[in-house]
Amino acid sequence: MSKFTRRDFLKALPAVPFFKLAWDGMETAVSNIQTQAQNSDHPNILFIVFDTLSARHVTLHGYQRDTTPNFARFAEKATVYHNHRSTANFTSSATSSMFTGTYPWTHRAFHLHGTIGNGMIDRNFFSMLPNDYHKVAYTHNLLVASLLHQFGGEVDNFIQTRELCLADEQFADRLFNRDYSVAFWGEETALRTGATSPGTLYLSLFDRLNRFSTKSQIENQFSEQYPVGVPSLHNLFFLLEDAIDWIGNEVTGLPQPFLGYFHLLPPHEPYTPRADFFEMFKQDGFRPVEKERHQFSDNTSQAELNRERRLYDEFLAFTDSEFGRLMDMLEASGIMQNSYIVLTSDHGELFERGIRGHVTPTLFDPLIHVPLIISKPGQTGREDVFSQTSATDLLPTLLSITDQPIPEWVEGQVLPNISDTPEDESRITYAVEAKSNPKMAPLNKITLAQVEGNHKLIHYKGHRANNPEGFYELYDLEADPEELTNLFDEADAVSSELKEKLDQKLNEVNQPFTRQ
Amino acid sequence: MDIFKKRLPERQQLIYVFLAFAFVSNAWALYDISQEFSAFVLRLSLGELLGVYSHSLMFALVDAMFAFMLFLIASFILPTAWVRERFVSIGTSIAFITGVWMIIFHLNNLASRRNVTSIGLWLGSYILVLIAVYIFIHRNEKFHQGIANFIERLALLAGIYIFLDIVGFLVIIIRNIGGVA
Repeated sequence: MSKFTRRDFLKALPAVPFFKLAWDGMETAVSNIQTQAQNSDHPNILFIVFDTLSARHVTLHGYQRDTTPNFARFAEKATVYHNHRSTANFTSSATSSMFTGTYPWTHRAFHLHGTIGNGMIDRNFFSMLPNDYHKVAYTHNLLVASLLHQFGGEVDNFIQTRELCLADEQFADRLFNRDYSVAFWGEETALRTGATSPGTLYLSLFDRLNRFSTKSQIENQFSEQYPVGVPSLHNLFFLLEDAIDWIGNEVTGLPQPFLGYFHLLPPHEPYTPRADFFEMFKQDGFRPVEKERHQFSDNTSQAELNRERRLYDEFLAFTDSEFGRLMDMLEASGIMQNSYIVLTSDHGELFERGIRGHVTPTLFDPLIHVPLIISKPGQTGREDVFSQTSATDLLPTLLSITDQPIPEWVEGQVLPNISDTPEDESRITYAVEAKSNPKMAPLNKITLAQVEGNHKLIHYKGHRANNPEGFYELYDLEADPEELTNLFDEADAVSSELKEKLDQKLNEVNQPFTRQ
Repeated sequence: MDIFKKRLPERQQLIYVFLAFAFVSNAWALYDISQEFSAFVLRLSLGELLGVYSHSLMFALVDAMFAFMLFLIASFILPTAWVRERFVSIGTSIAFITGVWMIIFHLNNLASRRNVTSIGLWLGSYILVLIAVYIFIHRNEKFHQGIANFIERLALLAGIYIFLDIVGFLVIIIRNIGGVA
């Protein structure tokens, strides 16, 4: 074989632009062929998930502040699920339920930055939708990014978080994309102060200085637009406007049918409303119901809770306005005529009982009652569903929409009002908090909520060493939507019946992890 | 190249001082991650746990290299009599004293507290101890020899740390080639 010399290489150089042109042309042609091949009768499915959005703060669900006029506008041509609940009070666990159609006791992603158990990884709505779907996903939330990394090749176009961010200082996905979750923890442990000190003596200091400098630059640049800080989480800084613009443009150009999953951080803390929303509720005279401190209270004062609630509501109003802008873009593009648009959240937020945020063992309704509004292709009027629905219902609903069989292991049901499914009045839904329980062990340190009809029973189990069986709370959600009166010791017959069911459920789900 | 030969210490001396930095960084990294063990063991499989430990060890190695390079650059720039004549004992002392003071910094979370008095005390005491030890090394031959002997003996243990770092690096590579989720 003759040797390829330096002279040969130089001779071949002028041909490079030709190859570049030819390659671009080939790419376009292949892309066009793919687009045509992917056209089918299946509708597009577009998920807009706003993180930490409690239905209890949405005007549509009776909140006194006018936080969400655009959600209401969207609902005019959609189905509103009034009793939709998440399966958990934080992202990893709740989002995994949306993806897999199962409760946390099955998918096992119930820790902060938890990941789905090995046996469940292939059981998600990206892998289970027909192959003609073009699947695209984006998230601001790194906990969701960990889950999407687990699904790997199932997502045709998984856009990295930083692509729509002003800055991020994460290295894990740049260097160790194929082992993201482990690399993420390695990086966090080595460079950042969390529950413990950083694991590096010197690099952590430089990392901190670098992040401080980045934050200062961004906040100076946007200080007028964002008076309480630019939207962020840990090392990420982003503008919601950028993500909305991108989604609006992206979905109109995607090969159809497509499944788009877009999980955006607002109104997750830190609550940083834009200047035109900041202090909009300051003088509105709204006084939330004051509730007794819970035994899991973090001792936040009522005044602080009210202030944080106001900021959250203002951030939500800003989020809603951006959603309105997206709706305008989608309407103008005509994509709503052949698409299901799903507006929901992973979990809520709490500003009561001395608890602020969602890192808590409690499962009060502001934490798990989330909005679910679905616009069907070409829907022209509003429909309302009042029966219990769960985040686990999204996967079976997608399967139903796309004429796929629903596997036995799915724990959710097809949502009422989709594909003529009737409402199920006897439905029981659950929510789980088990961050301190080992991943592959029986759930013995857990808060478990069960909602059946008007009643919600909560069992706090194993949180206190001196009382491993814990205690129960029972609320009548219709008579007492604020969950003020614990009926567990009063409503004997109801308490006993519900307790028996709840205990039975816990035994049942613990069975595979219990040594015989 | 002559300038490097003239201004850089012998290879053996470089290795000893690097091992001093590696010892402190690795010991701290292992202590720090052991604090997180109970939390990790709840949610990670054995393979994932091994992966996280491997990343910590790799970061510790890079941390040690980073600090060592800074020291080396300083010794390269400064006059010969200041550092290079007693390179091993001065380098070892700096590695340990700076390491201990950085540990105090992190354990007390001084970066987050942003308390000028605390940071001033921390920095002042560090500089004082550093100067005192530096002077002592130059004036007391026994002390100088003692430190040099100490790092020679510690080299074996530090070498084990380096070996673990290399194993960690291999684990990271294998996990990424395998695409373990």
